[in-house]
Amino acid sequence: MKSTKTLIGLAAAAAVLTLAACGDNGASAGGSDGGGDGEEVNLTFATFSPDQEPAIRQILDVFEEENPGVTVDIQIIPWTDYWSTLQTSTAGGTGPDVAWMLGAKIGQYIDGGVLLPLDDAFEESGLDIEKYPEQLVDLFVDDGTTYALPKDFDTIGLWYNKALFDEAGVAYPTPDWTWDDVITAAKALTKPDGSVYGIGAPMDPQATYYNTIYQAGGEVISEDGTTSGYDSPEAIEGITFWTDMINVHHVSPTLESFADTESVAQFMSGRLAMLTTGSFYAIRFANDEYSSQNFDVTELPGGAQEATIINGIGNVALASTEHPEEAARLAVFLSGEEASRISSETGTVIGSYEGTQEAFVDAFPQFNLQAFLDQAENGVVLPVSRNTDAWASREGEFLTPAWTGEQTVEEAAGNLANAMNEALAQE
Amino acid sequence: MRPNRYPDNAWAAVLLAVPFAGLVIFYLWPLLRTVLLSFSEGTAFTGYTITGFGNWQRLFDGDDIWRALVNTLVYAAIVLLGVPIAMVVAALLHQRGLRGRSFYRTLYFIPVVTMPVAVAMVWRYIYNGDFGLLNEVLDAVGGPTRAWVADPDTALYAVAVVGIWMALGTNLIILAAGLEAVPQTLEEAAMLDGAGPVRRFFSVTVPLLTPSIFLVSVLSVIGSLQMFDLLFIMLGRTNPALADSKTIVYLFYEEAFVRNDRPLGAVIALVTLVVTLAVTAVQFRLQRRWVTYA
Repeated sequence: MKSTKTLIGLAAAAAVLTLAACGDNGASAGGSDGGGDGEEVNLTFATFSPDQEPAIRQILDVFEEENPGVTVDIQIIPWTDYWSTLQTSTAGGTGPDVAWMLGAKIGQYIDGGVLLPLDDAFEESGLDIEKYPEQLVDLFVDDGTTYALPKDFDTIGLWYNKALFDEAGVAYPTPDWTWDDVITAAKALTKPDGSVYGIGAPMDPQATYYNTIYQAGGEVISEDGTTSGYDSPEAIEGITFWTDMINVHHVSPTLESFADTESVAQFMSGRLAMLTTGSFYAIRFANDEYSSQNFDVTELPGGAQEATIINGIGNVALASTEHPEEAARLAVFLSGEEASRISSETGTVIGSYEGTQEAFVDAFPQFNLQAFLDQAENGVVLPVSRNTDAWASREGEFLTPAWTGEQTVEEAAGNLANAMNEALAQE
Repeated sequence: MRPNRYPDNAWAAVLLAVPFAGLVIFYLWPLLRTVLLSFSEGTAFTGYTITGFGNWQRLFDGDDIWRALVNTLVYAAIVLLGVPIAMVVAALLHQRGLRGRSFYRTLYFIPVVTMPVAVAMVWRYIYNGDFGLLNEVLDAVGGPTRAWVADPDTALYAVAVVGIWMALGTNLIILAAGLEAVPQTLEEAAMLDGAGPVRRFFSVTVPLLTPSIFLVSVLSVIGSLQMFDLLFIMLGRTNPALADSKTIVYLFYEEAFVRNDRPLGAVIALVTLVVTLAVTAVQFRLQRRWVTYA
């Protein structure tokens, strides 16, 4: 049966080759329609949020009405594929015309020269740059050229479960709470049988430790984006606030527990009395009966100073488009006043344009969403560098031993700082 | 020489050319590009320029690749245990007069046709340290409970168990087909010689089944060496057990798609290829000692 052997060999060879072929990937995404200069212009707009699609469609309808002859298709690429698809399709010249962009990602696109400057289109639109949160605008400006405008923003707040506070007879958190108030309340809220924990301390940079690092007066990355701030005493203090919740005060489930059941799910099932997380969860909490009835939110507690991490999505126009003028106009429109108003009114996200944000607060009156707006002035923009992923993707790896108690925070943060500095040196 | 011999060859050449072209375009060309990429530096936007062995050196100077290699080999070894399990099940299902055989076969095959992501999600719930089914059961019988996929001591093994369970169906089908091919006459001859069912299984069935066992083993190992999806879904990115459970392909994903370091990703892909080829070659060499081609 020589043939069986040959067959096995062939099958093996094919199976082996499959992966090796993955290395050079050829992802492609739908592109713009060809045939440029006629009246009919068709643009493709890429986003990663199916949740926001209804609001986006509404915004695009207005745009199409104002720009006769231009039609826009939405292309939703799931988050897990979004960045690799956008990068490869853009590099290959088959990318969308307009796309969502984050501050953490834009550096590479600017360096690659694949984005259209939006300055002219912005001027033409009559929008006022002063009406956007300044820190977020800066994220998307390089060397005086604007490549995107923030379409929305989010801040982090202290969400809490009123029912669990009532049960334990603890007063609800207020904006003037300090770190110590949180710890005291968390101890009172934690039940000895492990059914309720005072607070969730997941290892989530944006929702937890970035905030406290800045509140302690530290920084994740130096102002000029060249060195890590993780080895400073303030940063270590900011991280220790969270690791102590697990390892010293025992008022939070462990990191293992959060790996099994994510913190937001634990919070929504009534296992956590407090959780610091973003305004972007308002819509999910509002759509859940238990959460909608029992949750509320206030400003983050203060450390040495007040701080909350602010982040926002921008819209970029890609240089590979066949209709640069329309694409730039669309990118600006998607971050404009009208778009901002629709986003807020639908409760989807906090629109970035001043004067449109109250609508977001009104969208879910059961929550004190004003807290997210009030904090924006203390907002510290989510730390980025030219190639943020190179170091941000290592944070979890290095901080895990601090969270599990295997290493001191000093040791873990020091190792992370070294790795981060190494990555930054390569930028 | 018969006149129609050349036309036959010509047809064969044409028909073979199509899959061959596919092989070149979809496997060999990307493979060549991957090799070139592994010696290059740059980003998708700036383009890649060939610079030398830097990426290779960077990979092998670090600990990550060695840890991932060990994890991957451990995983492959555990999943290989699924082969004897599949053999036992196949033999049981092959018994004469068994009722509902196709029902059982379908049952065992269901994991194969289920999406790995769905399977992984369900197993995540089973393994959950706080509310998981497994801990419920162990608690009831007084066994040890833990966060199975979040504990560095157990995560890789917990995932491997799912790997075995998922591969059982495919292994079973191949082995069942092998069993069908074992000539009845040999079994009967052994029976006349006074061999009991266990003796018949090991002395007649197993030797004749070795080509199938070999095929199943080779495919199982290759599949295990490329394991990614189960780990990705079952552990998640902030899992404390990740560092001790990461496989080579997971490392490849992290470098190439999370950190956008495509050249380093290319190196890892090639390492995976070489390791897989080496392990498979060893298996082919060893088979001479134990595989019987009738």
